[in-house]
Amino acid sequence: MVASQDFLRHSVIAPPREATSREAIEELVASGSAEAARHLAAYWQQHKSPAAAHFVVGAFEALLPQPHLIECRVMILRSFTVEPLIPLLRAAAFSAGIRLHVQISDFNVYVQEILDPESKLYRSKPDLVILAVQTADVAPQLWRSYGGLTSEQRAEIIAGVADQFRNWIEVFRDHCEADLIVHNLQLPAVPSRGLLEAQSVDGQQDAVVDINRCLRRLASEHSGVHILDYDGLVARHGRVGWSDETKRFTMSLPIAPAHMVDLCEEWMRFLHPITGKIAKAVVVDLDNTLWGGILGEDGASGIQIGPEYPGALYLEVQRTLLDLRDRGIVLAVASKNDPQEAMEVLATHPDMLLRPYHFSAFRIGWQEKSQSLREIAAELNIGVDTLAFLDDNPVERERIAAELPAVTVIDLPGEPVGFAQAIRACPALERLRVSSEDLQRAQYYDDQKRRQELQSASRSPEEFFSSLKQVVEIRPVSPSNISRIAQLTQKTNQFNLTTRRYTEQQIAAIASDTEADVFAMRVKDVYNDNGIVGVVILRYDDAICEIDTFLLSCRVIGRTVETALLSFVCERARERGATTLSGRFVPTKKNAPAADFYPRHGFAAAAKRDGESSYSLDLRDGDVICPEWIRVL
Amino acid sequence: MSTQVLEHVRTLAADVLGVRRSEIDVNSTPRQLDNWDSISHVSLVLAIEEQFGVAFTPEEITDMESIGRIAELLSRKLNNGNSH
Repeated sequence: MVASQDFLRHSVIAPPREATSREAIEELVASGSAEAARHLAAYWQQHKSPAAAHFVVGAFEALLPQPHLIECRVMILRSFTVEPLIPLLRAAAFSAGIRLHVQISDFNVYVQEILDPESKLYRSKPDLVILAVQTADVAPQLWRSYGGLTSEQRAEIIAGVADQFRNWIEVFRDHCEADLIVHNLQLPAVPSRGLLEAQSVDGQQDAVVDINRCLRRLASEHSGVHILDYDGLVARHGRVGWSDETKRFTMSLPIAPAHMVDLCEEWMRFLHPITGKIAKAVVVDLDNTLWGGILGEDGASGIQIGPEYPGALYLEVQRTLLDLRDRGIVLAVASKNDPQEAMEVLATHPDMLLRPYHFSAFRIGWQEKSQSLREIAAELNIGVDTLAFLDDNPVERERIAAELPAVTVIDLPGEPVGFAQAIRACPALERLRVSSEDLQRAQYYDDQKRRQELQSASRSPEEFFSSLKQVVEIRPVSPSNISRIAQLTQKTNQFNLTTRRYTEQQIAAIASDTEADVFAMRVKDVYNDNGIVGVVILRYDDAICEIDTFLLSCRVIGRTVETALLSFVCERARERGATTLSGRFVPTKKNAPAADFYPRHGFAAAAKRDGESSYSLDLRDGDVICPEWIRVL
Repeated sequence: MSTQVLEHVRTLAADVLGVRRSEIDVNSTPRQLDNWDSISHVSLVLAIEEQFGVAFTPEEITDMESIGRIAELLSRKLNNGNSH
């Protein structure tokens, strides 16, 4: 965002999506305008009520056929009234580009529907089946008169209910390939035993929790079976207010009218990944989105980001984006800003959580955002329809919605306090599982980015090393690092001088030897904490200190931290009274990168035998100097 | 019963029942409209309750035998300023 647009935002335009009235939409629909669907979706986003649902569905249906809509057949197996929810679900789905055909099983015949291979369920060939049953119906003994149960009875009931679900899921899978969403069981808002519930170890609430745990396990054992955390949904909105007792007793509708939309939106969170309506990348703005303020006006020191309000709001946005990245969703930047200044902030501002390497593509400059989004999609080799767009400026959002209607535009509230929540609420960012491929994709882009950064930054190696701001922590072996130390000796191949493999027990034995030392090195840099990436093992014999093991994880090869570690070794050997530091290089197929390590640091070649080279350094007049760009703690 | 409330109810009923507004007037009853079955009756009641922030008793819901009657019951609730 730039200043001129900031002006626009505050003065002139209420974006059209907020201005479109029902009457205006009816006209658009009647004229068959291509814009009608977009305005209808915006209308739904604003109203989201039972009253609006019927209008929105009717209007979308009047627009049919719409070739871009994804068709999806849903069958709902239920033990309560869901009919009034269906228009809300269909309105939400239409707004997301999904045309739902919904069928509902008769009341409380879900068991017959599942078990009978000729049932309506299987004949209707659904794409998705929702099994929505209530605790009171499937486990009545747990819901009512709980106080009379013995712990044996309790265990029997839990196992019985879990077995029922197992049977249903297995039979279902035998007959049907559709995705299956299973609602888990709701806890009673007020337990039967009152205060006694909280005093007991085998309470009513725990029994339901036990069943829900079984359901999660069942889902993990069957492909395409997903658990909808119905109890979590109810709890988020408040157990007491979730149900309307009058509706429950007179209509078998256990959901208050105001909460019907919440269940529909929860269903939508599943429908997006199931129908493939997902965003693979989130393209984010910088000013007033990733940080508070405008970089071009406030300067790097004036922008708001960090642990204190208001910077904390933007830190929360960054944390939320990082969560998405852990889900395999790629991040990219589209910002109207000075590219050098913006990259500098991303790379060096001390309070930023997101760093350049978290992003897979950058378009920072003065071009239109729609152009930036097209270019980013091309660079990442994904469709524009798999991009989500995050920008605080409603004018930019409206433009993208109009010019690139396939892009998921994340609707942000006016105040940044709601930004993170709005991101989390976006259903196109949900995943039902994360494949290793998904995660590797983000990693692959990262590596590519990092290599590019290395190249572009190499005006001189020293300058690059300085910009990394590396901090090295060298600590003796301890219970917290011993398993990592052993792991590194076992796994490190390239920068490993002797390639001696040690188990954790062997490391412990060396550590307890008074004539030996084991150290671990942690490396942090401007991008992140690399963790423990170096190990050195020293053995002392009078005036000679022998380097038994010296290794570096490939994550930090070529960054001069090995020199810092060797410098520390010299110091340590002197403390122990050694006058000679000796080391050897044992060549393997893979450790050529370490071959010149000792001669490079001023060690004299001592002997060569069986391919092994020995080196030594006289500590009385020789030394290894730690590079000035590394801080050792 | 205000005209405004009646018009609101007509619009909602047309949306929920999936018919044109012109097909519904103050005298319309479930018997005259094929789409007005017990399920759509529930949907209509819920839509009105949610839209106006009121809650009808089970007796009132059974009593809603025409569009005019619904508007009357709704008006009464709105005038009493009492949603429960």
